[in-house]
Amino acid sequence: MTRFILTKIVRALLTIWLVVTITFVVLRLTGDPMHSLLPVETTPPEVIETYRVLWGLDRSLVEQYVSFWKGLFSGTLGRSFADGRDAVGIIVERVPKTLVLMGWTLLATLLMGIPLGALAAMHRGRALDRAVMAVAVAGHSLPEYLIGILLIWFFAVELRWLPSSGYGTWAHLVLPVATLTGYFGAQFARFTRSAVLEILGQPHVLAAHAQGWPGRAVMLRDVLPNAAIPLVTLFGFSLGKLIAGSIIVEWIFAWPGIGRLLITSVTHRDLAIVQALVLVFAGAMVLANLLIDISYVLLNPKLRVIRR
Amino acid sequence: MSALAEGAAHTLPPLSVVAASPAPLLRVEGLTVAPRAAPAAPIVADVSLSVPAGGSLGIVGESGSGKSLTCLAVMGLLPRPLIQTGGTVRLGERTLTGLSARELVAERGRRVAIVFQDPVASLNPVRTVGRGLTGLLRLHRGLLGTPARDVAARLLEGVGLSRRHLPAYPHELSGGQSQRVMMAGALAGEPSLLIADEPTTALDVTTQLQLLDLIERLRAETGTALLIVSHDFGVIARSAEQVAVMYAGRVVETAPVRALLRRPAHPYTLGLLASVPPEHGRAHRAPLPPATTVARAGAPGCAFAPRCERAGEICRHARPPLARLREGFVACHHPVPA
Repeated sequence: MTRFILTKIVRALLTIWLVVTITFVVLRLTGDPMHSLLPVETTPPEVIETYRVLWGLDRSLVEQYVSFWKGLFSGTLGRSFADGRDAVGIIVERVPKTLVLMGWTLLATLLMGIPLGALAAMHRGRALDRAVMAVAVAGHSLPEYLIGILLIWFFAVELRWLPSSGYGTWAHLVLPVATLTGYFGAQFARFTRSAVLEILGQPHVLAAHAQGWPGRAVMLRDVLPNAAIPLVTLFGFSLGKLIAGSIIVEWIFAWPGIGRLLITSVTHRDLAIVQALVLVFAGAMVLANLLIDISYVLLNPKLRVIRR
Repeated sequence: MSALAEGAAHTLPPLSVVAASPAPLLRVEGLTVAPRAAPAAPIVADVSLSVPAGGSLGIVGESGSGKSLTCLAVMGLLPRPLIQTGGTVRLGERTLTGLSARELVAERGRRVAIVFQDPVASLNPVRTVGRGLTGLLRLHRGLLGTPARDVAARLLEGVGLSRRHLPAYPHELSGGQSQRVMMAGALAGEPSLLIADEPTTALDVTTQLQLLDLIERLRAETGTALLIVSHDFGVIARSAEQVAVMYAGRVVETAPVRALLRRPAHPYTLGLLASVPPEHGRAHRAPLPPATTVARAGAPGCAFAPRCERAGEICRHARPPLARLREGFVACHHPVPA
């Protein structure tokens, strides 16, 4: 198990290095950031040159790359080109806001998707199944921005129950989380349904009924623990999609998290911030996958033997 | 020959002779199972069986003859597309047919337990043997903690395993060990009837014999009655006192095992026995001709007639009733002479 985790960690670090390096090179090969930061036509060339030196953009790619890593190991990721603030500081301030959004989304997704999917499977082919699946297919097929706009139109514009954008109170959380849950909850419901249906057909479920376990106990003791194994795979894939989804949703609802920060920084070619954000996203993905791999082993006893 | 004396009918005879038999533990009368979508086309039709307390009955027949469905119907566990359209299942004083789902759950595992054909797939792959058994002991006997673990260990010892198997996961067990664990689980609720549906079919030959010995020993120790299903006459002959032969969803012959082996009355039984390699100097007979059409319980006449060399005109039109012949009962217009 230790060896297994160590191998995974080494691979994870390699992945992060690759992502960060590729981003670094691509960002600097796709045009001069000065053009989007300062009005080139009207700014005196000396001013532009001063800023270039200040941000190290006058040096060669290799030199910049080396100093980036030096900075990384001493805990700084450069300064924002836009307001000169420390990139780490800006991100640390915004990460919790995105985590709040993602955390509630994950909770709502699991609490809605899994029970609804299991319920649909138990009522396979009947009205409840069809109703749940119709909603799930709709939720899964509509893009987040459309769900988001529909929710804003209905709950913020028509009913005036909830704020359409912003951050601060519980009410502000409802629509963005609902938007993301509409997509992910639907996906989990569909996937849970098929995973549960597959397990329901297995002899050990019939055996559990025959042993005298009531239906609900069979579901909780036999069906769901086995269905959880494929669900973890979906969970792993979803984390990546969730990061992407929260970028869109933060933009729609003006949620001051790192997703929105990414869009503004990319638009302004704020290289230091983009670079730091890519590091955060890559790190989050890699960490998530590592946890997924470990939970596989915890959930599936067959893997434990192989790794022993 | 003493075979006549052995004929205390354990299988349910027609009503005229019911009074003569001892009060049975399991009594199935006129059991009929059909698809929900086609209730008039039964798959199991008018099956009557009985198992006395502490006694044993074997059901034998080809695949698709309705053996397993009969067992599932007794447990109230028919797959969703099927439904019991007729007959009653009685266990002891209680009529199981018509009980609510909740009342049936309370009977399973406690009064009647079942082990299935595929023991490896019958164990939950994510639960250890110990947790499976202690769960059942909590469910059926309210045992918790150390007492439950001790009883679980004793159950394992009872089926020829040991305490060491408590922390094992199903994939760490062989097929034979898995079936032993299933047996231990089945006995956890101290049932008065054990149903074994092809319990040894998925196992290799030496393991089969060990398991049949185990079943015999457990019956002697616990006094549990046994309903054993197999396509293999060898298995039935070894573990059952009474046998019912099923064909196309109906019981076609029933008799004490030894009498049936010696003098089968139904041409189908004769054919089945001929498919077993000869032993004890028994003369080799011609095996059954292959079925060319799907035999249906609902068809008029005798379902076996198309494959039967003794079949006459009447067999194609009138279904023979189960009637007393020699030590047992046979549903045949032209039974094999003694």
